[in-house]
Amino acid sequence: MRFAFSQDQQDLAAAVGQVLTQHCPPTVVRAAWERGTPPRAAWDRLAAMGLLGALVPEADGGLGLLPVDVVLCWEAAGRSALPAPLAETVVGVPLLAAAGDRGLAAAVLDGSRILTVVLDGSGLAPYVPGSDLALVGSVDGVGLVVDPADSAEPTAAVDHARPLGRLGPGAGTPLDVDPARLAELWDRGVVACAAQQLGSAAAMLDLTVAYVRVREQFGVPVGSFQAVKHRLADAALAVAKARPVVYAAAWALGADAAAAARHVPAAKILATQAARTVAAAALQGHGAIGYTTEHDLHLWLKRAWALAGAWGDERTHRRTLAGCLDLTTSGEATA
Amino acid sequence: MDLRFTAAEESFRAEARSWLERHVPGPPLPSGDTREGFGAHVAWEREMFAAGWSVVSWPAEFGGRDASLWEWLVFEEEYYRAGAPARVTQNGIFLLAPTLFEFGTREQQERLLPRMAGAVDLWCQGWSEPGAGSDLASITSRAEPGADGGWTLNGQKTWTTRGAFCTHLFGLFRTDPAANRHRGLGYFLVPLDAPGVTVRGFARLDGDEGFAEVFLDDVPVGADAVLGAPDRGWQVAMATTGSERGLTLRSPGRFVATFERLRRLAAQHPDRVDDGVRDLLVQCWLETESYRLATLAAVSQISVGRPPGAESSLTKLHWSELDIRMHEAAAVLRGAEAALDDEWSRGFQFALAGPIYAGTNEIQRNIVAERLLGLPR
Repeated sequence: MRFAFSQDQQDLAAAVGQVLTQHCPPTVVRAAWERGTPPRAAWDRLAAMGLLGALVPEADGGLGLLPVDVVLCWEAAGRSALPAPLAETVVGVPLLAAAGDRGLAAAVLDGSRILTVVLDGSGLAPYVPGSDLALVGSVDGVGLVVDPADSAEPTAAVDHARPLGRLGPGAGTPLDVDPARLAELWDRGVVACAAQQLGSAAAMLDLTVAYVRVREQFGVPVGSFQAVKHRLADAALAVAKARPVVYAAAWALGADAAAAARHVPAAKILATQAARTVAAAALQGHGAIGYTTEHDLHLWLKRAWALAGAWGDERTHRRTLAGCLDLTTSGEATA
Repeated sequence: MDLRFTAAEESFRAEARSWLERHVPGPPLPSGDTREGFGAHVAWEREMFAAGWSVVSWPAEFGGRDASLWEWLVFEEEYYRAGAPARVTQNGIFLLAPTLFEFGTREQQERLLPRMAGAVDLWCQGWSEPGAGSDLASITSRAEPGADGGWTLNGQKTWTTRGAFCTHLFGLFRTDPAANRHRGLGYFLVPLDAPGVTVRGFARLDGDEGFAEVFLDDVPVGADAVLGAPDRGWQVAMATTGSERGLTLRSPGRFVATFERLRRLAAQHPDRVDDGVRDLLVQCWLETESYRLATLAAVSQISVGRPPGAESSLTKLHWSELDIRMHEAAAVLRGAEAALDDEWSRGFQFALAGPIYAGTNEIQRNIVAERLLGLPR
């Protein structure tokens, strides 16, 4: 029994973290906010590292890794609020490779074509415009849309750095894929999203702690007031509750299917609760200055709100979990 | 990373499960916080000790099995799963013993540890005083040095759990009258039958005589009654607070077992499980499973020499609030029957103590904010 990351896993995450620190600081997120396009420099560096093909078998040009090997990388992306479909590309490209279009898969791996995914049945694809390819559908079936911005109905997204394009449920060329592979893609995407939420929550907490340590009122830092301390302690607790479950879910995918069935929805629910709790505490901790678009906080708040409903909302995952736990309601049949 | 126990650990689990199945008393014992029940619980402790199960993680020479922290965790899971009696020795074995292992002389360890494990000596914790609860450093009970190297103790301790039934007390006393706060304190081991000791039990919330006041009037103790240096009592007491002690206080097994009882309760009343109740139950499972996994992560760190520091404050907040939430969920499920005096309502009342003992949750939140997040004091 060992619930800790290996040196290799930590080293990969550190390398990704360095790339993001250098190529995706808040100014880059803000630029994406203004332009609505993913940051090429950061994306190309991540492609060069091989991260985009992390879950693709080595024989197909990938790193042949498992979700547990990259979960810390997704968390790092969340921390930086990377305005690009990293989760979607990494979990989606193995399906693309398996479905037969190796040329397209290779283009995704080298960073020249960006892949997004929307499998929750909503058809609201993230980073459209901004992506060159989209896998659209649900766990019952998926289609591939090339140049999704051309056919998507534009929408107004709250998070301008994460544009949303509405694609119809039957959009794109249907792909003949093994349902098990689609289910695997879904589970991996859920965990990748949860990991990003974890990173996002940690970043908002750090921002707020830094702020309340220096902001003074009544002659003292506002962070010295117990009400502020306790609110942030509760935020830290929410993150601490989510973290082990996100990591356990990543490990279970590929190691213990029975555990994964519970830990995957659990990870998304707890990560969403953590992100929501921290976002609210962060805004309140910043006070009025956080309630502007001039301050960076709003970039993280809006991403947190958007990710809450992505890859399955709390309600969906709670239903799944209730089924696994044999906790069905009086109106439902017992599992 | 591998979240599975080894074959050896699972075999240890099977051995523990089998022994517990054969020995856990049939109808539950009366409450260990009553005189009659305490006696029954002590008999159980002696039965466990005789079979080598009372202190599995201790060295064999003191009555343990040299079990690893993982095996200890497994044993705790099985213990609660079996519905085994509450551990009336827990203040000794989980609080005093780690301190004895770290700061005790060989003589103190040999004299005290086997008797503690064998429930011959029953220990209670003398920390709080009427004027010193959260502010432990403000204690005024004192120890005056005697000519022969011994000490004379004077003062009063309160909120002493099961103090009326125990034989010994470990507590902090001021050894240097000129020093204040956490300086000049000594950690003392006191027999409760020593002259000058008066113990008065009083009832806790559920009506059981689970608390006591301990009055000390010129109580003589020997030089060997001090644990560690006589002016370093605070450091001795706090040394294990953040590490093993923070962990050993509340293993996940207790909460996993409570959730399983909650699940069975829901299964008995399917007509009462609407969407709201279902969501509440799912949330209870989420927080229980999170706590279990967080403990596995903490033990993984301890196993490689990285004990938790202020993170144990997060642990305490987590389990204490979870315990209340699960008992509230049970009350929701039970409806009018929640007013009955039984295991669930007693459990609920006991859960309410969680945010108060082992450092109030307000103090724990301060620690999280100041020591983990770095906010100014």
